Amino acid sequence: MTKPDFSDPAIIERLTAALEAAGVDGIEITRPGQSLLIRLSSSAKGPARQVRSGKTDAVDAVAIVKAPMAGEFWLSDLSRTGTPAASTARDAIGFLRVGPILLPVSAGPSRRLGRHLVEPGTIVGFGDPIAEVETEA
Amino acid sequence: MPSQQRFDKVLIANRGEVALRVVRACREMGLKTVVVYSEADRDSAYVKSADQSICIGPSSASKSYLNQSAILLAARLTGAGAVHPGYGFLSENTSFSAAVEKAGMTFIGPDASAIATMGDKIAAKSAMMAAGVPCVPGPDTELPSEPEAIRAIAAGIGYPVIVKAAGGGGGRGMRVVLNEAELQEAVALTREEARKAFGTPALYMEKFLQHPRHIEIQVLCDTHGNAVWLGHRDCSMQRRHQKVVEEAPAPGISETLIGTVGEACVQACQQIGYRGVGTFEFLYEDGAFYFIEMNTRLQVEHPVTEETSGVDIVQQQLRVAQGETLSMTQVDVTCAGHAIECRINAEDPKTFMPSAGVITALELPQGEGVRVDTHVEAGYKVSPYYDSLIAKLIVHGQDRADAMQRTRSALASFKLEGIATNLPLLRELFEDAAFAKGETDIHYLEKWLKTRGAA
Repeated sequence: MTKPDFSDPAIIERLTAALEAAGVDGIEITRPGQSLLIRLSSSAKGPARQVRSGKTDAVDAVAIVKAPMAGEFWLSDLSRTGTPAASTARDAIGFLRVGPILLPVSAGPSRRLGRHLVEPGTIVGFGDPIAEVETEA
Repeated sequence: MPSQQRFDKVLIANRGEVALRVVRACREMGLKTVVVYSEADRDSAYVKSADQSICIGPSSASKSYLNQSAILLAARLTGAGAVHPGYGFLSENTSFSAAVEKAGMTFIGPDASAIATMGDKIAAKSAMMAAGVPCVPGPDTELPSEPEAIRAIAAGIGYPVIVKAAGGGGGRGMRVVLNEAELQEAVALTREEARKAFGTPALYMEKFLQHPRHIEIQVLCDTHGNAVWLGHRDCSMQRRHQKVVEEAPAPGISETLIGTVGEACVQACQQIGYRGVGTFEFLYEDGAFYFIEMNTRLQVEHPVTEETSGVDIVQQQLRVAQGETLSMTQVDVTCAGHAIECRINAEDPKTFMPSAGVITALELPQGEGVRVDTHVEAGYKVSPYYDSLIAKLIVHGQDRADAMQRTRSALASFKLEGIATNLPLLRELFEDAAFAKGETDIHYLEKWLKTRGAA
């Protein structure tokens, strides 16, 4: 059997989908030289899915926050445009607007916003990358 | 753009070749398009063919192409004024049609009540009998629960009979009963299957025809009470109720006989207030037609009717949805020549197991009268998540023999590498003498496959 590469987004996505379907909230896999943490929202309709994957010796693992559904992307704070900012579990790195509803998209616990990958006002689809986040050292 | 136009942007709630087919029709009419896609189709080139494209969910169809909320959300976000459901997925879903209309958009298809009527086989049969459409012998009412009453109905029809689920279709939820000894158990089993599979235990009973052909009539109706039929098709070449080759017109059917049935179909549409395109499916045996069901959507095999009638059926669908009056009457409809469609499936030609993977090389046949409707290209990754149909080869000739010969040539020059397809099977089938002669029944292909040891 081929050894899976947990830095491959396709593998992570399949694993994430399988876990989500099974109702699992999260899983952490570590092995020499590689670690993977997938944390799903506590409910199926949660705001975001966070995936972190990287080498264990990396200082700041970079993760991609993907859109949990289709929507129009807006920043949580327009003054932050393009500027890296500290992020806590309760922080939103942006919102998905669908009509009158704003759905917050969070970076996850102890995450630092690296950069946004889409401009405010962009219509994003399910799974489209929204931002890069880094784990705080 | 006419001022009364109801929409100028169409969201296509489907995938693959039919999504591309609708994009083409919209573009030719100056309409903007939105294609929705799943994660599995994210990297497919065809999704970029639309003016906008948006991912609506994971690869699983239940979470993407069957996810009504996600599709309606995408329509709202992109400002679509209409939704084209294509075929399969949500195309005959009553609640989806209603939800689209409720959201203030146009559903490009019949309204929810017409879909519901035709989706219930008992109600459909009753409506067809009332309109004078010939039906398979058997009552247009639900089978009672009393064994004695069931026995009397079967005896009245005459064995063999077939017990069918009212909510079934596509070959599911039915059981053939050869004699009275098998009757009660067959009814009980089918009733339980129907309850589990279709949510209703309602059954009905009909005469079982032993060697029928599958012949269908294409109709087109506007919202002003006008309707026409666009000729007929023969879809008898089937395997496990899945059509493999379709042709138009159905060979060996007298124009007088089919004309009467076509007119009855038109009258039925007018009586139930049907709008859009639809297909009446019949079994044909011993010179008689028997209605089996109506499909309230675009059919996979619509191109053979387009080729013989010269009518762009998808464009007509869009015009009807815009509220336009049909631009033709029945006397304007003339069919010429003969057309054949081969479904090219990503499957093993002997075991019929689906074949997923990357298409490494692709050369499509070309030439006069040759058309290929497909969304694939070299480098395309065939996903295991969806139907195995990857292309449709449609060939038009002066007559059936000409069309058959052109199809043989087209199949010979059709090159597709990297995955298994049914192309070898089709090439072999088109050398079969009985098929070349025409008028084979719905069991022919399975028998033919058994003789070559592949069924």
